[in-house]
Amino acid sequence: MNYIRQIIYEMRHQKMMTWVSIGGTALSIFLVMAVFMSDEAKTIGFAPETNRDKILTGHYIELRSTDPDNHRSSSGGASYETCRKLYFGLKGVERMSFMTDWPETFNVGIPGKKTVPMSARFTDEEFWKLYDFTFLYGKPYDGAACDSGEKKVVISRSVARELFQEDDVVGREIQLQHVPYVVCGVVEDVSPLLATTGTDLFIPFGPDKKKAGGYNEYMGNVRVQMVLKPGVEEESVKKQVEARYARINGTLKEKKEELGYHGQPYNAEIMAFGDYGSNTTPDLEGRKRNRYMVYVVLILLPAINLSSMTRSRLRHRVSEIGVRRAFGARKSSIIMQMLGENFIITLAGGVIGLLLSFLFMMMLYNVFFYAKSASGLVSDVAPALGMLFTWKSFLLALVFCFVLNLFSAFVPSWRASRTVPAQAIAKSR
Amino acid sequence: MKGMKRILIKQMRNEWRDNLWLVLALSIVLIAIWILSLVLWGEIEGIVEPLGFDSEDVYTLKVESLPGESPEYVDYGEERIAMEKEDRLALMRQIRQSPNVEAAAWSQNFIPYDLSYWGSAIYLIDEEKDSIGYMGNFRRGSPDIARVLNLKSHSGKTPQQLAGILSKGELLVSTTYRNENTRSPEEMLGRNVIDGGDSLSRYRVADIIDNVRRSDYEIPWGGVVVIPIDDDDPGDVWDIIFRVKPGKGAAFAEEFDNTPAMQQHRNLYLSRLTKLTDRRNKTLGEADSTVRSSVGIMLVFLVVILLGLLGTFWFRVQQRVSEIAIRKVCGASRGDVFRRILSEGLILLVMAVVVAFAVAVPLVKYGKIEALAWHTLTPLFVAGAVATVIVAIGIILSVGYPAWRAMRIEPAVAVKEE
Repeated sequence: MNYIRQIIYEMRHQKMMTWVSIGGTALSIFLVMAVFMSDEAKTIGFAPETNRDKILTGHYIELRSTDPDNHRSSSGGASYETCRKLYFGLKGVERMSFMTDWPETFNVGIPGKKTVPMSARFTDEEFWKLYDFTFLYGKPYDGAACDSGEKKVVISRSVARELFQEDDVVGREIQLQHVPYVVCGVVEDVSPLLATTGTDLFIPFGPDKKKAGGYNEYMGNVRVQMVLKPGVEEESVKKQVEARYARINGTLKEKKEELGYHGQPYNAEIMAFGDYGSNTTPDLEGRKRNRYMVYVVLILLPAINLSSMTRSRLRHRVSEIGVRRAFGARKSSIIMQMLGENFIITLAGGVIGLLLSFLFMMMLYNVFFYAKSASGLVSDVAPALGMLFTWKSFLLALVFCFVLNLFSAFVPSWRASRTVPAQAIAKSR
Repeated sequence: MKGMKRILIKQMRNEWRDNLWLVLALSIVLIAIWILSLVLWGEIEGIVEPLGFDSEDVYTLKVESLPGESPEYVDYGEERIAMEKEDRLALMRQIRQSPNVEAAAWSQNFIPYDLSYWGSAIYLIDEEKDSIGYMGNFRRGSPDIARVLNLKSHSGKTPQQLAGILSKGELLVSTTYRNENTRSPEEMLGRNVIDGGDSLSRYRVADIIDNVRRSDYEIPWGGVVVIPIDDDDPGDVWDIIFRVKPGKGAAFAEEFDNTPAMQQHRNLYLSRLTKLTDRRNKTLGEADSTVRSSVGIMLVFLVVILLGLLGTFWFRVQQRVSEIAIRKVCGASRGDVFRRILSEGLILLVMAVVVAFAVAVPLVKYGKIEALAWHTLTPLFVAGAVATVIVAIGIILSVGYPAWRAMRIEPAVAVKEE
């Protein structure tokens, strides 16, 4: 209780210091939490990708020469056949969906109306079981529609409104690249933060599309999304995929070629931050190291800066510390008290900083971070409060406060605790 | 005056522990601002370089082909290449005939902001073995591309004259950046060259233009080679870029929507009428956001630093209230007292700059930090100067306010309180 009373006394008598300390701490915690939350928004699961953090993606292929005199290499998206050879029937996989890797832009219209460019993804029927879309009207296409390449399409609510000015448009005809398709379902809009499901249209992945190739027989525009059975490790699936690469490479030996294995399949974190291409291996560790550096800079520098102030503040209390030491207070108890006092101020700043970061993410996300749908029809991309309001955020903010406190107050407190009582009292006179 | 300085130095020496701590803290802050400014500059360095084109009143259209399954599709059979050529020319004629259009051109990798890079090189023919060549982004366009994008000639030629050069089948080259592996444009001017990717094609380089860049922010690699596309036989090109008469964009859009002949000719049709500035915003949206967030982080960071400085100097000045009072009683003016307190802060800053300089320069030049490795000494020193000025302003503000308050206290009151 005395602790709190003393802190309140200090705060009331050193108003400037209080405001500066709390303001500096709040802004530091705000900065570091805003950076953390912006990263979280790219990997956290929410509908229809509720299981985003559990999904693995297999994509990209690199075919390169093993001839030392020939450094040819071609890389890019993988073909459907390649994806099947590499990923179909893997042990430990609960569900697997094949789809086009990157969305294509289609001119979409209805007779008598100007066409609008929209993003479209071709998917199989498993896609609808892997993700939890909200169907407002109609239902998804089935396996038979995919096998026959039926001209059906699932559209988002925004697309329905753009084309027909109403939501229930199941059974209506729309033109994709001047080819008529029938709407079989209308789904709730998806945030462009979700790169896999945040497209405007979904089309059955028919046989013609599956045959579409690329620069060579291994290349195309297909990816596999899979969710593992409970308890199955990512590594065990990666080992199986690597073994399949090796098997294919065995058949390519004669041609002096090989497929470059780059650690597929990738988890959500790698997909968001891996910073990789079709011929490079994702470097998540490097990215993590950079991020930790950012956190250290954003916490450590304000801490060092605030520590000069804490040091000056403690110099003010040198006589008090001297008297306490004279009456037998231990150095450790002086340090603990100073750290405790500072921690309460840091915590007050931390709470304000955390609230600021929540507000920032909800109101200014669009200004500072980029996420837009190809058509631009869905513009509301700010992460919902529920996505960010997690124990992880609170715990992390608390840890950052603790670290900030330790760095800004430990050395000054330690130095203050070494005060020789007689000198301290003499100085203060 | 000399005496004053000596006393100041003596006073600072007496408090060497506190001052050493403050110098270290200021050095770390300086290094951080220094390096952050360099990283930020690296992201936006291109904004001071010329773009090489004008984007106002420029629009683009995509040429698309009907899929075989479309009910409107016409099977051309073996005549496909000739028929599609006719379709292309008919569509371009329609665009050029519009009263709202000033100039229109075919483009292959010539639309700025598409971020594509067709990297290749041209080599001097007369040199025995030109192993260096002029390296850059190959941009192909029909002659009027010079008028559409308002390309900037270094010899003062008008866009019309540049279009004339291209229609003769001659090349334009541009200014180059990151010049390690390329000849300069001046070396190529007036010379005959071969295309590195197609050794059968021979050209003459007729003029130098500003580099036609891909982005507002990035510094290009090498230069740009403008290769003409034949207006009468453009080949498989899928992009049209055109300039409307000033302010006639909306009128053209309306005309386009209401003219079916302008939209489609048999199997080929035009789509995605887009303003070049909108294309820029879409393509560079992510880069814009990154710049905004980097600047935002930097500003908040500076406020935190400023608050720390304010807190530190606040206490230092507060501890000297009685000293200030005695000085005033002894006849020192407010200016004298203020200068003395400020000098102390600035002396500490100078010491911090020396430490920061000793750490930051080797760190940037030899630290193998990827984001900084490309910096030459000039931005390094400019960023250092910027960091010093920012911290100096912070110190002046942090010292100024508490000093001003302290000087307003009556000497008798200040001494009595002690």
